[in-house]
Amino acid sequence: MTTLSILADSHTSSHVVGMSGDMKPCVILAGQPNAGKTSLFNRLTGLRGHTANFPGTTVEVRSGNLKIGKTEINVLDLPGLYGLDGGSLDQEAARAALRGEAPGIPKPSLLVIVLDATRLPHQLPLAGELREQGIPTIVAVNMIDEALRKRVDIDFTRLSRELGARVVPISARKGTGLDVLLRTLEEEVLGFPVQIETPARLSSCATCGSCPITARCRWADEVAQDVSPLNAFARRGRSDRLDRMLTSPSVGLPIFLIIMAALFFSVFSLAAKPMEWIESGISLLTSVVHGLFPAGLFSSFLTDGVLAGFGGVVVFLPQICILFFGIRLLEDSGYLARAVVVMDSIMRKFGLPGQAFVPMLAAHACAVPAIMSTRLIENPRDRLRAILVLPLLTCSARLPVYLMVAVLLFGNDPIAGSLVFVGGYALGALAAIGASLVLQRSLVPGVPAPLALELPPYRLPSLRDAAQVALDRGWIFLRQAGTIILLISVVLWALSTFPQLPSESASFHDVQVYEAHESQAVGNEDQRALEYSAAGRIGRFIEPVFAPLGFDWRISVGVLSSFAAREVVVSALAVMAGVGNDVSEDDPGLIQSLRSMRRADGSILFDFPTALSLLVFFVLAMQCLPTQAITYRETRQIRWPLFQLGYMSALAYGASFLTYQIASYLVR
Amino acid sequence: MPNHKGPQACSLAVRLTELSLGEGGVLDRIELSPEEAKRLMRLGLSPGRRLSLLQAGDKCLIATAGARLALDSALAAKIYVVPQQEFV
Repeated sequence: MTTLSILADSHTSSHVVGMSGDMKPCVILAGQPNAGKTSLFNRLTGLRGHTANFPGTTVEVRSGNLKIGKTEINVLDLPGLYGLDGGSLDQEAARAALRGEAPGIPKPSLLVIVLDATRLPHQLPLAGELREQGIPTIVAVNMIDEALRKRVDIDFTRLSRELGARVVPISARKGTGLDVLLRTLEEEVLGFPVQIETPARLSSCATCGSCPITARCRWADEVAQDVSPLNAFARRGRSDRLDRMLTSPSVGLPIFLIIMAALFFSVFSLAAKPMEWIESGISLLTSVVHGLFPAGLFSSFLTDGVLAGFGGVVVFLPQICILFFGIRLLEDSGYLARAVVVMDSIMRKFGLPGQAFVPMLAAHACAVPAIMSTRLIENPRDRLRAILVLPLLTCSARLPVYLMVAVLLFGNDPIAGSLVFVGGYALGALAAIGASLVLQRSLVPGVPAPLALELPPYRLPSLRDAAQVALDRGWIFLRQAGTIILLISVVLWALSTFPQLPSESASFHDVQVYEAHESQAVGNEDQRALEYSAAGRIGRFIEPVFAPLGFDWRISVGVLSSFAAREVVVSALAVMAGVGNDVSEDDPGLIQSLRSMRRADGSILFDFPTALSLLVFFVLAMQCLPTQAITYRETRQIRWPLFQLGYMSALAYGASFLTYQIASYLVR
Repeated sequence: MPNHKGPQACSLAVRLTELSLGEGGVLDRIELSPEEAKRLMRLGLSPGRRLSLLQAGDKCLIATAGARLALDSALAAKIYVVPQQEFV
């Protein structure tokens, strides 16, 4: 079953669980989604846990250390589960870990089953199934504070007898009962485990001739009735009224739109300052490098290659962290599941399930974490469709290009300029919807799996857990995207630097070059050096391919150099315009220089049709190697990132072609 | 393969979508493919369990075993329940 809590158990590839060599005692946390496992994990391990992969799989698990006395214990937080018998990767990995069959992970010394006290009958079947694994177990009955408030009275002694395991009531949020849990854990792992006989009633479930799930549910209902005879679990009057409202199209949809607008507003407004700081930090470092090293190849490599590549990645970090902080708060509060219900009816029309709205939301910041969060879509075909169309949505890296085109076309007119942005977002979203519908009728057929989702109780979200998720996501993004973009920007730097101009004055950050750009002389050193370089030659060579889109060789170089990371086009064009590459996208000097660029026939290069065509191309083209890498990692088939690249390039080319030709005709 | 029809297929059973709002019943059987049925059963929709309908429409809201589930009406229409008046 789908769990939204996949966001909490976030994702990465490079770390592998338990490969450190030393075999510490291992404690596994398991439970249903929203039972509070992540909060408990954070309590046990501090904020020092990290996300890791099960060896050889894409299934992820949080791993951290807990120190009891002098002994370090490895704590693993399994993904939220509804059962162990399914064929999903999560379930297979969970089974392997519990049986000690996962390579590199020792057989667990102890299993901690985390149950939500307020939903005991619903949680017990999984507990029963986990008990059947025959691992020493403690049961942590979580959210005990909430249960008390709701007057859910539980006989823990009886529950312990029924489960054949020690039971500790806790509140992971508030820290209640954690001392007892730690003591129990210590005794079980390091001291003398208390033997409790597995009750016959429980063990009969596994061997019962009919359906084991039905048998476990019947067992669970009986146990719940025995340990809490008043059965106060079902009372959720106010919450039920809220559910009816939030999931209805008439009230729920406007509320959804308001919440999403608020989320987006906060992502972009809160991230603005940190992004400025990062940018000025990078400029500062650049000038430090210029000060330390003499102008020349090495200094150019550090600033234009390494620092530019690093800055291009880090600058998106604030948005990604804030976005995932917000999504996690919404998830933790219980709202996200209701939003999925509202969106399911709409998304299904486009061939995607309701769960796909979370990745689609995230894709407006960055496609890399968005594709990682498609894991909450359980049906593999639905998930593949979402992965393939997500890169069409306007990510933050496109915004510098939108801004450049907006200023280029409309100067400082804010209304006309914002039309460029609205147009870019709308075109991207429409293209994604269209692509999904086409895929549904061709390569990835099938209707989305019908919605079946648990609506978790509404809760005050935990800022601590959200911060943990945000940091985790940011770190993963840095590792995933950072390494690739850094590598590519160094390669691009080399392509645009070598072969060098035969002249000895061809140093890149010569002071004169900066001074020369105002005068727009016949082409300064930078421009000539670029034209002479491999990138310039390639640009010249492929110019005929892009000519029908209105692009000359210089824009072609820009398009090529942004193959791996689209935002690179701004600095590439800046170099072409002779402004040097260290300018912002709406820098008056850059815009003025771009406007004064001429074609070979003397006409203005960035006329209306060309600027519009460039915009359309950048809305639709793939141009992001990290996204491709993540698509490969999530689909495990090289053909899907290749297909993404192919169809998006074709779409971008075709749409730009039409835009340029139609706009030229209309202007003429 | 699970016997998702349950032990006592009952002729009094009606579709879950035919319950009136707030009405409860005991789940009798799920008439879906074994995989789809199993998906619902893992969520707690197991024969013999009591459930009640909180909201009907394109998406149904259901209460069972202290949890709340949202189900597509296409799935809810394949779940048969024996109505029970005294269900809380």
